[in-house]
Amino acid sequence: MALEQKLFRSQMNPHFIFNSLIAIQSYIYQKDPVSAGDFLAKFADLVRMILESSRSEFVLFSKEMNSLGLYLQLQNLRFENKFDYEIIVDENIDKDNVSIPPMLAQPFIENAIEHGLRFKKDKGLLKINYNLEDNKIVFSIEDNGIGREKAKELNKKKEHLSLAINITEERLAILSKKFKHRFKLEIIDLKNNDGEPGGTSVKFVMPCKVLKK
Amino acid sequence: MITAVVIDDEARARETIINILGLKPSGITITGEAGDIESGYRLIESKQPDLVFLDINLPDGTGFDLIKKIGNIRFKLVFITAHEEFAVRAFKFSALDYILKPVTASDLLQAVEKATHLIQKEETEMKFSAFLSNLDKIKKIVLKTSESIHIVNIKDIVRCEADVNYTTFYLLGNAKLLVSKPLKDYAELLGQSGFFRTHQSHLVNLDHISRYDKEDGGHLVMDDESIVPVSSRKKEMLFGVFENM
Repeated sequence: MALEQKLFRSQMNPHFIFNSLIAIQSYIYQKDPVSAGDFLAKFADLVRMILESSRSEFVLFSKEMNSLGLYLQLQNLRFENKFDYEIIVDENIDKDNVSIPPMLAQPFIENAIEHGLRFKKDKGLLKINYNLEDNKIVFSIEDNGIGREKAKELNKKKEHLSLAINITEERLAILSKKFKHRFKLEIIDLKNNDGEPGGTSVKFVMPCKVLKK
Repeated sequence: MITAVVIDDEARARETIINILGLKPSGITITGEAGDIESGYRLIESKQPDLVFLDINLPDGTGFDLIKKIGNIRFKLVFITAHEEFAVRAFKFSALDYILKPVTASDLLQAVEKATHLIQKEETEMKFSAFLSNLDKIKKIVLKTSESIHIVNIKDIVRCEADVNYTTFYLLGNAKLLVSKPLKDYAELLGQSGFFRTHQSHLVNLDHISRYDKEDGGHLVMDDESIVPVSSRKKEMLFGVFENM
């Protein structure tokens, strides 16, 4: 499979599609047409954006933020506000003139939600950061979910979905060659206040293009 | 009333199933729901449902793992999943049905109907096997008529017919005994010895049924050629008895 296709599959995976449809159906049976309609429209917007961005090597930063925002809203609706999220963007990033490789962040957001936050007893928090450093974008994501060890334990009977990480590594390797810089993925297992495993942090640098200046 | 539980990790998927079953009187009562194998196992153990709606992809394993864990399955199983590739495996686990998510109301109600039908059939069969295992416990019966006290071999009784507070016993060899006790008393006693109440006024010895004629709404013909009506309420039960003979 071409990388482009694999990328699309990882962003629009069957699991996410079907669970979104199931969420829409539940609104219908709850006789909540407004929520059903909103969810459906957001889902359609996201599909449109992913279809568009999976064909391009770089997308405008502001567009990327729209896609991520939609994705996060849908997941949050699906899990009935199981988590809060914040996206902090460095003010030095000129959102409408800078473009970045599309949806590199999405697989990690998905992992954080589906394997970390959803099994947490209380409400979780997802922190996403985009910083500008040395004309490159430093992306980091941190969740205070159950952590990778526990998630692996829960998943031991199922084949793990490390597909997302493989594809990201593959993409970063291609970008590394092209930009003559080593874009490397860094994953750290976090501990909570009691020193117990809790949450995961992912960090990587990605190239960006400035359109005009 | 049939009880059911829903085990699915998506809360919204559970809600939908419960909502659909609530739309029409489906005869199903949902007694609980769970989101993973651990709590699903405890739910089934404590509620002992007649029917289980089970998702295949669960956070701590698969629905198949849950079934293996339970071992002795005493319920009807309907798998509900978004993934078609599991269908063949599902039926290997004796699933009654396999429904794809998002579910349609008609698929769901059809599965419920299938389960209801099967559960009722099994219940009837169980009653009969209990009924049949009690046969031949008593061999003789004392019947008092106005003239004599008769000791009658139960296997010689062809049938009994009520006449208000009297009961007429028809015996092999065309003998007849009129006893001043209501049929109800004998129905209870002989019910354990292979007799069947086909009608408010008729009790027959299953061993002396010669045939069942479907004409005129159906009746029995006994070994002595006498004709015994079967009330419509008793027909299904009687056929159940035939099945188990």
